[in-house]
Amino acid sequence: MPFNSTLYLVFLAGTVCLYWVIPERHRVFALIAFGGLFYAYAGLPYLLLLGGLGGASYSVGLLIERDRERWKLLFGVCLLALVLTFFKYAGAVTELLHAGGWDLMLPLGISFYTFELIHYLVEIYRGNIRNPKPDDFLAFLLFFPTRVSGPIRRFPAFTSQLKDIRFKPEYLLYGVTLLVLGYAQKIIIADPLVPFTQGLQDPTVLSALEVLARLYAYSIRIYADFGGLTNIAMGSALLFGVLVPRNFNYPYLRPNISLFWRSWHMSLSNWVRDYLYIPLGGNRHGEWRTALHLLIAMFVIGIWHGSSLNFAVWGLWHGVGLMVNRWWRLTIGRSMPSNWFMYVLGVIITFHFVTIGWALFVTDSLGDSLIIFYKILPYV
Amino acid sequence: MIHDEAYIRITRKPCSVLWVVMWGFLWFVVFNIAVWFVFDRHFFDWVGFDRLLMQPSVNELQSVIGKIKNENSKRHLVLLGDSIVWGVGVNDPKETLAGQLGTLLKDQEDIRIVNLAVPGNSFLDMAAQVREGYRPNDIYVFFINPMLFDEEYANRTFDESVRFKETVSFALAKERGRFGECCDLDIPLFNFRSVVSRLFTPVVPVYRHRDNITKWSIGLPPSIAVDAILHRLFNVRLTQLLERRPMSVGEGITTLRQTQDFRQSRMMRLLADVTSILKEYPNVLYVILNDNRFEKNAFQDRNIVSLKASIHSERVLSLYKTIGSDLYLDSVHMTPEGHGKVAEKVFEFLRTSDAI
Repeated sequence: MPFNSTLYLVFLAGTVCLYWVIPERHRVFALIAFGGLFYAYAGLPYLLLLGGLGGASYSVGLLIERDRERWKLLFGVCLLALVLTFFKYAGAVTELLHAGGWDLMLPLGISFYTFELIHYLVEIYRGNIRNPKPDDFLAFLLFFPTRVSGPIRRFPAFTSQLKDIRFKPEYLLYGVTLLVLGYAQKIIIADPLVPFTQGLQDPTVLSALEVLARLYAYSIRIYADFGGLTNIAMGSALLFGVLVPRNFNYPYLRPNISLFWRSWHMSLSNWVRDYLYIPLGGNRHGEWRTALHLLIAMFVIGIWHGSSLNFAVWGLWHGVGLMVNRWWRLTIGRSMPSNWFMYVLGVIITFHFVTIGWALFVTDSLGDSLIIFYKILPYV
Repeated sequence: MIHDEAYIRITRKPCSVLWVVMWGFLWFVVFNIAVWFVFDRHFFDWVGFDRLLMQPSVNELQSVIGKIKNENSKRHLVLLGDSIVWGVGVNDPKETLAGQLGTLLKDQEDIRIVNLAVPGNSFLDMAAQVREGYRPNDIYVFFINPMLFDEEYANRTFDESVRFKETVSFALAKERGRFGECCDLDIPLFNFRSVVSRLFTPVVPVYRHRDNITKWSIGLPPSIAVDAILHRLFNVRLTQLLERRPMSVGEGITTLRQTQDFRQSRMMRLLADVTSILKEYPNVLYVILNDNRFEKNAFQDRNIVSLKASIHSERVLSLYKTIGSDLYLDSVHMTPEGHGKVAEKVFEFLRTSDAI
């Protein structure tokens, strides 16, 4: 049930109306039922997989809570990571090994819910989640507005809102506004740019200027597309009286790549910061280790987006960008003036760095991305 | 309430009225720019167009006329007519006269067919549409429904017969007196709605494309006429649920004997005047349609001869008696096969007239 379908709007309207007429104490169960229906519509096997992983995570969570043994956490995290890896990369790996290439359908939202479940297990281990109730857990797992395209939620923030689900007019107002904004971004800006930007799939036939124009268009399209979907998800969630994290905070207006990543796909970058970058050591072990941690974190963000090699290189492109930015801030940047001119200059440089990076994201192969780089080289 | 930068802050009240007005205005501007970008650039290719809504607003008509005028890369074959040409009774736009002409002309990629017909269009509407959109390279085909000369339709007032009053009163302002004298038709000089429409249509894309946005955003095929009207009237967004219903064509077939002499019909005088005005546009061709309501007898034969003679043009095609009764759904609207047959004849006519 894609967000930009009439069926979704009808489903959303129907479930929201039903949600607010049933007694408050049953609303959590309604959320579970709506999520089950939504997922069952996508396919029963998907629901079974979600249920299976959810059940396993909940059970492992109970075991972890009992004695906080590290191996139990590792077992749970590895299980989730393996399932995600299997569905995401098995096809690409078998193709690489010339073993026929498994054509696996990626289960709906698996990238998002496996990360949410890993967060759940880690926070139980850290003691930040205590005595999770099964109905809260199921509502968290099956909350359908964020199942298709995120954002990646946090269990404590979500369940704290389930304790007091009352109708708030301002939530309705903001929810509808976000829905309208999201659909406008998706339908009016992103979708019409699709035919134009699809030309980047075959950059050999394009001139350098055409490639450049399409890259700029792609930069706008991907923001409008993903930002639109996130706004629709946030708006839908607000209609159920639930606030979910935002993913974007004017990322193209950020003066450096570090701030860009704090405002682009924020729920993912925050997750990677909390559950990968900081556990690896963050910036506490010297500059070389910090650089390595940045590269690993961005590499994971890259391969999270897709299984082909260019996504990994896209992640590393940003990793290198973050490393250079960190070096700049600690050395030359300290003596640079801080004024509006430098800010605007920083915004322009960051935007172009990100836009050029999309060359690695938009194509199906690294070879095509390199052709794009080669074509725009005279302008760089 | 969660207070964290990862979440949007929801305030119970906006800061002030000015805050609301400023943000409202900002979003209005942004939305208009987006609508302009989508709907005013490559309209026919990006957005797609097969025919107007069954009950279009004047701004939908004006927006399509604007697109015809601004698309320089193509010649336009514009079909003007009423419900017959629009395709009442035909669900798939590809099966209408315009759609089937498109198939016959598929090799001529420089020609774009635009079905500008609207159910209930009068000759004045069609003349105004020519005057508003005409470019020397384009071809306009003016379809004449002989049933309109019957007294049941011929003696209606301006308000009763004209579909787009604003467009007509602007485009034919010079000829107001002339139509008053010949046909007792009182074309109003000032119409508040027409002034508003003229002011807002060029500068406010959202206003100009109101119907286009509706059709495009809910994926409404214009053939679903009943739903389209429902949508426009009640502004509901559930019309897609009602899609794919066969279109109703109303009354059954009743064959009558024509008793009205067309030479006495006010509509004949009106047509003569309209075609006389359109003489200044050389690429306007005329097609007299057949009907399934009146007996094809000697009296009606003479009526059609008079009708043809009243048109101030050499390029007239008469389809009288060429479409069999089996190709009609009711007294006037044709089946897809009927549309196909008319398309073939119009195609031949366009070729022999050196129009294409």
